[in-house]
Amino acid sequence: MDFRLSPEQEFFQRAVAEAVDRMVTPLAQEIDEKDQFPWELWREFAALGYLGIRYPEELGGMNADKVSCMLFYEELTRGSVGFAQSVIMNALMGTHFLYRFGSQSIRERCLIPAIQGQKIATICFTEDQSGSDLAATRTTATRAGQGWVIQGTKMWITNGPLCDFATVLATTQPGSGMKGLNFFLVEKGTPGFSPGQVIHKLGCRGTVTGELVFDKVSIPEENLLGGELGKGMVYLGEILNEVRAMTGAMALGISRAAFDEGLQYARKRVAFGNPIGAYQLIRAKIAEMATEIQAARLMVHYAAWRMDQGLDCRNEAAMAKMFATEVCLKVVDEVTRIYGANGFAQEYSPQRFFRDARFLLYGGGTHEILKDFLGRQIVGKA
Amino acid sequence: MDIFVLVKTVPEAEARMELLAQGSGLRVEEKWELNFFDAVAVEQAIRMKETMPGVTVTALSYGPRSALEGLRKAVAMGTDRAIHLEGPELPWAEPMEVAWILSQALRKEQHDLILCGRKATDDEAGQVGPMVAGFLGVPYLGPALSLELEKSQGAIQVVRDLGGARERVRCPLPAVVSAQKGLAEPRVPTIQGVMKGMRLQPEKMSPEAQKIPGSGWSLRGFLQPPGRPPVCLVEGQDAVSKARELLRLLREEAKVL
Amino acid sequence: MEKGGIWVWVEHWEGSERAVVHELLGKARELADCTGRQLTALVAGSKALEAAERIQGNPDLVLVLETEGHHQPEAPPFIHALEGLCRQWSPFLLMAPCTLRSLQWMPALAVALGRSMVSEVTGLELQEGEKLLVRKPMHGGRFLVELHSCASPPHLLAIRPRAFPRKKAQRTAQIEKIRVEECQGALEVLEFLQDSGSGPELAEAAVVVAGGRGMGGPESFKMLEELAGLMGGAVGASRSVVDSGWRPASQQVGKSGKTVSPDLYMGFGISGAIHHIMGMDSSKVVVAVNSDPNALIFQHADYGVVEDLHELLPALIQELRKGG
Repeated sequence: MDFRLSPEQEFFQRAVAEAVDRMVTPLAQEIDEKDQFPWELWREFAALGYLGIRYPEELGGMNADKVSCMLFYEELTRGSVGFAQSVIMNALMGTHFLYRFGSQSIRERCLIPAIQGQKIATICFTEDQSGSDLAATRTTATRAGQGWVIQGTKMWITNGPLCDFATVLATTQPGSGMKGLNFFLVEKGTPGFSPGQVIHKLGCRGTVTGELVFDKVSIPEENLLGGELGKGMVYLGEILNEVRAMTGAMALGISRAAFDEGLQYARKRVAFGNPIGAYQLIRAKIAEMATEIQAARLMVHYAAWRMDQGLDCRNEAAMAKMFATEVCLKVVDEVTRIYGANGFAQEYSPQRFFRDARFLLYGGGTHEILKDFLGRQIVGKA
Repeated sequence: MDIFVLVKTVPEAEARMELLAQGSGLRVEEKWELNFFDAVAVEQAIRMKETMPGVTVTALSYGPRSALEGLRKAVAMGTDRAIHLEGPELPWAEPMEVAWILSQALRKEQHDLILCGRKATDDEAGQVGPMVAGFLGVPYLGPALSLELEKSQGAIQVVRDLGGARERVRCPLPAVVSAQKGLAEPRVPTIQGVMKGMRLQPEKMSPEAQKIPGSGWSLRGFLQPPGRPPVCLVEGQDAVSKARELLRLLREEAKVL
Repeated sequence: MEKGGIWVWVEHWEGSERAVVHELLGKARELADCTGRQLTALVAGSKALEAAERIQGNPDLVLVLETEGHHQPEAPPFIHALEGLCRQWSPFLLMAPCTLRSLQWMPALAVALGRSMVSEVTGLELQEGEKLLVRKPMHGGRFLVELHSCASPPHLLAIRPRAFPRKKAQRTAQIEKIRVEECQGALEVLEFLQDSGSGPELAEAAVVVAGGRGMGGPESFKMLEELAGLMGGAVGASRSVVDSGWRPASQQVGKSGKTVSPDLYMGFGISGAIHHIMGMDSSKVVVAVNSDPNALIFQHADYGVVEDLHELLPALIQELRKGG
């Protein structure tokens, strides 16, 4: 048993942290205030090659182990949640199925440009009547000669209004629930494919999130990702654990950013003649936060480590996501308390962390769904 | 053309440090970074490599295991080779010993240009670069604000910072040049570079066992400078009255005006 | 000239010596008096005599090194001659100001003489008559390291400006000239560029007024320049100010810039990042002006003013003008 990161992982973490501290963190407040996609930062950051870390080196990636991926997600989110969401969409969910099932031509057209940051990727699950309940997906894919026609509307799509291509979950057998689901690639410029409304969000500003409309969109056969029909849910299972652990890592990132600010503030803010960090109630908050962040990190890294070992980690990933998120919600709350009234002020960052943390509740599965899943796993069918 | 960059790993500014018992040494938190001015030197070397064919850049570091960190960073930024001269973990090292050891290693390698930072941010000696030049019997130029290689590749021109003045100087190669802030802004490494840094297996060399010339100082210990008393906040109704009160305090209490 | 003396290298530009030279001469006088050694000041280069006449108060002897041609004080003929003089007269101690210029020649001299040196020295004591104990900062002044001399003289020390007080003395030292031989170094000086700017050099100034991000932009620094002028001080800047291009890098105080230890340091709109603190914490009296009462710099200050610097600066300037 060894809890240490390897020297390689430590170096990787420091390298990411440096890139984030130099390029991303200084812009975080501005990204949040403007709520516009930071194109310049995107180009500069993508040029470093981090968007491809999960993928093999021949595609421009680094074939990173999952623990390293978690370190990346955490550090990046520590810099700016809004920016991290867009990057991680390109790095993970938005490109995974193209990597797994895309033809050589799809790889060249979409995957590699997405790894290089020249194209923006997304994945579409949610609709107005389906979120956690994917069986209720109403977007359809209908056979039409040598290809498919996609029909439907997707909601809450990260990068959606800006995307160059989308991996779309659609049913080929309406009414048959999970068994009818498959993933399809739809590229920008295909007739009938258009962005809908942009959603104005409480947090994670800077990422553009919105609707995508598919109005009789004709796509060729190669755009069905995964050869066998009806296997969409099986394929989703391949990255579901990683997505959950990733959400936990993002929670760690927000927690760290908030904790660091809170700690700084406790050291410098003077009340009654002493820095407030000298008072026991503030120290208790710091101690509890540090302990819980530590626990959350161990859970996230453990889930990722099991993934690297090829071990089952469905429970561990769900637990890590849920626990790290709850810790994060507590930390962002405590930090606004340490800040006193300043925690309520726009010019200080705690309010941003407070708002950003809320999205973690939905990304990677709501905690109600996850608890139900874990309960079933643990108790059995009883 | 062979460029060597002398690099040192130092504690980050934020690393926690405390005195050991009786001030015999320092306990330093394991948070390392490539010395700032050395990173500038590495950047300068890499830019030369990128703009000219046939340039090889080697990072050379003397020190304990932590020296690997600086070497990894240098490789991540783009150096071709990394050599680790293994040395003991010391609370303080005599710059002349370090310069001697580095120069002995450099003698074994083909070198046209040797770059280094103008000083390390931990011991703030600023001596190793010029001393290496001294031991090798080559010119020393620094701290450099700019560095250009002449077309013949046989000589360089450097603008050096003299503090209040600058001088453009020229000398034939080989030479040692130290880097001042402003020479080149160190880059953020790409992922391909970071991977090379992660996988780095540095070439290892053992320092010459030979007696080092002229070591003249022995470590007595470390002290912590006395801290400042709590701040006295200057009171006043408005900026003008605060300004008056501040000047009064500086004249009458602190007696510095 | 006597053997085993104490020597001070006089750093000067065209005859005007740097302020730090007087600090070194004061300290050297003290050491010379308590050990009965001769104190010699060495001045070289163009207009050396002008500087020699102004520093006559402290030393027993001023040695002026002259050449046929015109050279900077640190030119190869002088450094070569200095090496010869060290061999001939085996001084006990050679002190130079620790500056970018002395760090060009002193390490080379150390190598040539086979004697290691200590730079950035801020403390110096004699022990048991013969042994030297020196102190120098490490890790940006968070710690001091103490070193004992353990080899035979000459001991070579580069002393940080403002480490010792300036002392006046009434002596009129004898001035002796020696002609040194021309020699060609490997370096060829193509161009000499004097930086514009008036007032004292940042590292040597008794008063430093520094501005940070809170200054709001490069225009506000005009006020700092005016304040510095009124107080006889120099203007400094934080790293972010320099990185934003508001001020030249030569004015940066901190880890990747200069270290200052003035009698009075005033920081305006500086938050107090560790990088900056490392460059100014050894100042005698620190004043911090910031509109944020929680700025970290207040923890490193003797006097704090919580006020908008754009209001306080004009008020200070006006008060100082009134005070004449």
